[in-house]
Amino acid sequence: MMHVTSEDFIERSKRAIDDKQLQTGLLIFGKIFPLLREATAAKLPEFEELRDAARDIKIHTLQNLGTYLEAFEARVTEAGGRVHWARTADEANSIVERLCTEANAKNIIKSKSMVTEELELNDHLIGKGFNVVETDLGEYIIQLRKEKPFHIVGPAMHLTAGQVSDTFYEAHKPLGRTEKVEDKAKLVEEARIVLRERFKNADVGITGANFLVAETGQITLITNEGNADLSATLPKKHIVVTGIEKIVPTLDYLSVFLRILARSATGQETSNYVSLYSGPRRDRDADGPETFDIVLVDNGRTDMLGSPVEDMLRCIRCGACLNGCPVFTTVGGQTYGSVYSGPMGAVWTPALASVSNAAKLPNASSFCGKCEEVCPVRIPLPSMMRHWREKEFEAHLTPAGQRWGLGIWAWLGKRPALYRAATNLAGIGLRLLSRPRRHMRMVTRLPFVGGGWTQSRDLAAPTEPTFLSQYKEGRRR
Amino acid sequence: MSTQASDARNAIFAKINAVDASRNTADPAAVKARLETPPPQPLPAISTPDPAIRADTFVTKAIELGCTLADCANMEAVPQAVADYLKSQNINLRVALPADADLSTLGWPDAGITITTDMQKSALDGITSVTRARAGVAETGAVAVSSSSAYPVSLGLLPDRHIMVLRTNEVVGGYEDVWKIARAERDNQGMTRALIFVGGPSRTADIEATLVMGAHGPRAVHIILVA
Repeated sequence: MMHVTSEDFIERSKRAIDDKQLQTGLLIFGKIFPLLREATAAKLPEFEELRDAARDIKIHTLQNLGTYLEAFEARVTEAGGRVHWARTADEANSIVERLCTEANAKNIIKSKSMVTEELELNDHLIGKGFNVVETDLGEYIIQLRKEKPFHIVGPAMHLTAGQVSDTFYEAHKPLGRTEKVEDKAKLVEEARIVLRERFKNADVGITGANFLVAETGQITLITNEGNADLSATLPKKHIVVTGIEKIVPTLDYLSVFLRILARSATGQETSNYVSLYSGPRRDRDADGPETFDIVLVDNGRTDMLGSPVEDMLRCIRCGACLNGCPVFTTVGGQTYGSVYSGPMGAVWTPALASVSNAAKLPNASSFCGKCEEVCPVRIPLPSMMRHWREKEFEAHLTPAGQRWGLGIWAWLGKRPALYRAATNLAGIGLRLLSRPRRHMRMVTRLPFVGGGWTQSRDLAAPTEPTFLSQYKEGRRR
Repeated sequence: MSTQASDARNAIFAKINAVDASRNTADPAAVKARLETPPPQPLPAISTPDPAIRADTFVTKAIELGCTLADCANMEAVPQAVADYLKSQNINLRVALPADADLSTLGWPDAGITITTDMQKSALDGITSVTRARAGVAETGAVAVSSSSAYPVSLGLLPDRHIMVLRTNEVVGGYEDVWKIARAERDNQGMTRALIFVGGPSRTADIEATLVMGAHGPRAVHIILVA
């Protein structure tokens, strides 16, 4: 089960909204990334058609998951690799630990992987005495700061160069680097120098996988930095940790995803390194790892299969739904208390943790629908959040006041005459409480529980005559 | 396989099979046919450019990715083109070459270039490497390379500058053309270990979304296009 701290979502949201620096960081995701995405998508006339194809491929693959996984396993074995299966995070972490121990490894380098964040693999390995260093620049920064990712694509984008400078200064002092640099290019250079040594001294490289190709047994790694390629090439052991849902049938199907992933994620036409790896170094190869192991993780995914949230397994982790979400772009990823944030996190987290631990997240949505609109594989995110809200209600996790209020509303709703009388009465009451404001009447202070609404905004009083009375009079436009 | 391992595998497949049985949508025979003869998928027009403009499209796209390019009349003229590039960048005329007959037989000393064939990790920092490319992809501007005795993957990752030698007739349209090449080279151990599309210099925007070149890999990618 995934470890989450989502119960504190509302408290953390309040702090996030008041955090001016965080709000500046969020502008990048809320304003710039959606514009870049739209611009690159507009340059590809077949973009919508490719999204349809991607959705259909994922649906087909999930309906035939067993056959594709078996084919993938056979191809990996043929290439000299090994496939390991893990039901839970504990099993996955133990397998990786055992592989590292068998290799007498000490130093481990990692490239960015959300699945290993989900498993909390680093904590496990560090607890067993291994040195584990993240190599994606953003992940490296948050690892040094002991934070969780801010965004699945830009894990450290909430920090200023000044904060990164402080972090590097403290972390790199023991390595003999005494100069404090502030310039962004110099900070990248400092990380390059420090991590280059880590790469060269690493015994094991751990990567995730963006896709698994059943036809060929290849894993796909997509980065801009090239750190995944270094992790997959320099150490004598390469371990891939990923979810069983990452599989696609063939290379021709893979290209559909390659054409939509970077465009949806960062507005790039392609990422700078798109790489396919299969098996360990062959006799003919000039370099590469001696062993190639893939840990395929379930950790709740087979429970989603055949359930109302199965469509979530189509997710390719591009982050477009986060960038489009008015809630994510107001509170940021760390507020969610789960490594998966935004709309995709609001659906994944209850599935992988539990409804009781993550009930706040599916409620953190205005159901504006932007997430579904931008999702490259057209996941119906709002309707799945609604599913979790229903589960929450069924499990009596909704606050008493809300349940009581909804109960009264439902009771009234079943009695139309009474419902109309009650709403008419409420309309009269609201107009009595309201004051003229420009061209309309606004209620600035509601009594009782309604005070919660008018604390931070005014409520427009309903106008007369009501819609129903006009409808009866036949005043249709 | 240990007990844990076979238990885990069996349990995962049992759950998948139970879902399949409940909805009857799985079709193993159709899947096997698909894997043997992969059906084509929707292709965007950019992946099948007119051969007349294919090379030009590749050049434009490669420049957009931050590559520099130079034309070269024939393979024999490559060492001089490399020397010209290094001089223009004010960099010493010393390059790392893999064991690739296409390149090692060329007249490097005549162009004033010193060759190193030391492929140790420690020897590759800060240097310039010259390698052959497998294909240029017009759709994206990326260059495909694949692991072999003639292509150590680290030679495209550790040096500060990576120069790739690509023949104009090796420029293809889209990803699918590279899949054809890769499938043709399949042997009893399957696909080549590494197939990488290099889309320009290594970069990051992880600090304040500011793009900085030279994150972990080469700071500069130069393509020599041989007619």
